Amino acid sequence: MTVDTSVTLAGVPLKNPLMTASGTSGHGLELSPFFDLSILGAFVTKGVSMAPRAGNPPPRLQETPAGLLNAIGLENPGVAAFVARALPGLATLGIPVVVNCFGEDPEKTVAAVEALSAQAAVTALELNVSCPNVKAGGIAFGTDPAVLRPLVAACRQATRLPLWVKLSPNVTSIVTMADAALQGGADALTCVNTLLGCDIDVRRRRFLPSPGRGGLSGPATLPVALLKVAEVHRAFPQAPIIGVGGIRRGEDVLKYLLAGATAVQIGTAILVEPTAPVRILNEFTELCEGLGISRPADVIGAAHPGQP
Amino acid sequence: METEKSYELCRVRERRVLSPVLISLTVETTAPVAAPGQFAMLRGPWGDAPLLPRAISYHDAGPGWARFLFRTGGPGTDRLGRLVEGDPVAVAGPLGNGFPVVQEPWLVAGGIGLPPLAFYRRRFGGRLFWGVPTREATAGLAEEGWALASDDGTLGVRGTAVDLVAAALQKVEAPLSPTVLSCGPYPMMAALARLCAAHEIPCFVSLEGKMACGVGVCCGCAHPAKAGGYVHVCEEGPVFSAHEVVL
Ligand SMILES: Cc1cc2nc3c(=O)[nH]c(=O)nc-3n(C[C@H](O)[C@H](O)[C@H](O)COP(=O)(O)OP(=O)(O)OC[C@H]3O[C@@H](n4cnc5c(N)ncnc54)[C@H](O)[C@@H]3O)c2cc1C
Ligand SMILES: Cc1cc2nc3c(=O)[nH]c(=O)nc-3n(C[C@H](O)[C@H](O)[C@H](O)COP(=O)(O)O)c2cc1C
Ligand code: FES
Repeated sequence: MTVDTSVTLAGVPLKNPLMTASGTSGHGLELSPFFDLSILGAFVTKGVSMAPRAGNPPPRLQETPAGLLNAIGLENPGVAAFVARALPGLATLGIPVVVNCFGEDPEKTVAAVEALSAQAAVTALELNVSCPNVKAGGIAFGTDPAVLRPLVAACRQATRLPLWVKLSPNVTSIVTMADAALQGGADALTCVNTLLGCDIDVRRRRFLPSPGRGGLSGPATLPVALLKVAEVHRAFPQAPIIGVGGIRRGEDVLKYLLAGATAVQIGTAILVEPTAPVRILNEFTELCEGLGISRPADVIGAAHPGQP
Repeated sequence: METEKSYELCRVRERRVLSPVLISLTVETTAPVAAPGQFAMLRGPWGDAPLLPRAISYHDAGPGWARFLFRTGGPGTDRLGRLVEGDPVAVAGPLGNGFPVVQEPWLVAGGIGLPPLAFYRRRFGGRLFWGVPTREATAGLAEEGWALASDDGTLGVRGTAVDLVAAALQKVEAPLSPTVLSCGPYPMMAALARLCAAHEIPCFVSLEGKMACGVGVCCGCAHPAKAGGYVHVCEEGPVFSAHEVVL
């Protein structure tokens, strides 16, 4: 049996459901010494903002059991440098290029969306709303539906590209946030960004990583992220979802599809093993074959009661 | 000096226990031969914890093989230290820039900072200065012709590798032409950088930032730059001119 791995995500055809996760694969072709990036369903860049950002002081990383806390601080070279230096390389891959973007306030967010939309090489935009909003006391855009909805609506106005909104799991109800993003005009929802957490250096009596907290990713987070995908799918069965969190094997990809995701992103697994997407794609295809799933697109959401 | 990076599942060819805490691993590899000062990210088949691979400098390398020397004591290095002949180990490398090839290298190592500098000397020659806490810490690694110091005076001069360099500088006739290449604890490299600045000789340091990917994709290994902002240890380093970075 041959497996047709293709899926269509909010109008964007992908040859398979695997993408890189923002921030774990560089801005451009940094991973290409390790594997042929064109095997991916899509490439998602590290987050970019209008102005360059230096990021947080070290230590930016702290390893936890089967997880990683990061506080990179959204370091990036800014839209102009990204467009000049990284985008031309990505354009040669022949796969959809998704640019993850954000801003420190609503105006800067819209400006980034506008500037990136002018680039022919960009297939879709993924809005990171876990970034602190400096105009609202540093509270992340993605934690207040009254802030999120108008932000997404303003970005929607500013671009004709497919607009994906990457939701934060650090909220009481992800369904409320998903609703706000969809009402604002999001074409797809990426579920989810990292979970807030911290560690403590008991000798120095200091919180880690350096800002006192960070975003948890990696295998330890998979059950949490998987449930968020399931909850959003249950509430909005028509909304295209990109599942992300803790994927390190082909089986994990299938779990996300069964929970309701159309596609998935691989993050920390790439930091552990730079060629991880190649292995995971092979495992996923073999698993589908073994389970008699000739078209994985047909099993999206199939784990929910009432599904075939 | 940069070579092409690769990622492959290697086999351990030889494991040597040099002391209760020092392990030497030789692996079979098809990757390009590393240059001194370059490093690899190493990880064995131990499941999801510890999650990240560990950065280890090349201690030696030739066509088809590479050798690493490391100190155990944490979850990652302990597990690497338990790998035996024939075990698989994932190796991403060679990574980073490596030390510059210079006319008159003075190689200054503190403790487990030795491997890249011993590799350099084997490849290009140079005077090697090594400071250790105590005699046992050398684990039989010290070679003929090295200048040695120990904190407790049980080996060589009592003091640090920086003291050895200071004494050697006193004996050198002006104009001085050595270039100092160093790897060791930050306080040692900071003292060395001050000494070199006072004598107006170039000094390069190899940094040990915490790393996740080691291959330039996560921005996790930022280290403060003197000019403001950060350098990325895995991509722009690990070797920097001492006046570029905050020590
Ligand atoms: C470029 C480079 C070259 C290195 N070369 C060598 C070498 O040749 N021999 C050797 O013995 N050690 C070397 N180190 C240090 C080695 O990477 C650490 O000792 C090791 O990561 C510790 O992991 P652990 O789990 O055993 O210990 P833990 O201390 O418990 O590690 C916990 C976490 O901190 C990180 N970490 C701890 N200490 C260091 C450190 N000194 N530098 C960077 N990250 C650290 C680990 O990667 C891990 O994420 C090098 C580090 C770098 C960055
Ligand atoms: C080092 C690092 C940097 C990240 N940077 C970004 C970023 O710039 N923008 C973003 O939306 N998500 C960022 N993320 C979150 C990831 O894209 C992903 O949502 C998260 O890591 C969970 O997936 P994983 O468990 O597969 O890593 C980052 C994650 C890590 C580990
Ligand atoms: S460790 Fe990931 S960029 Fe340096």
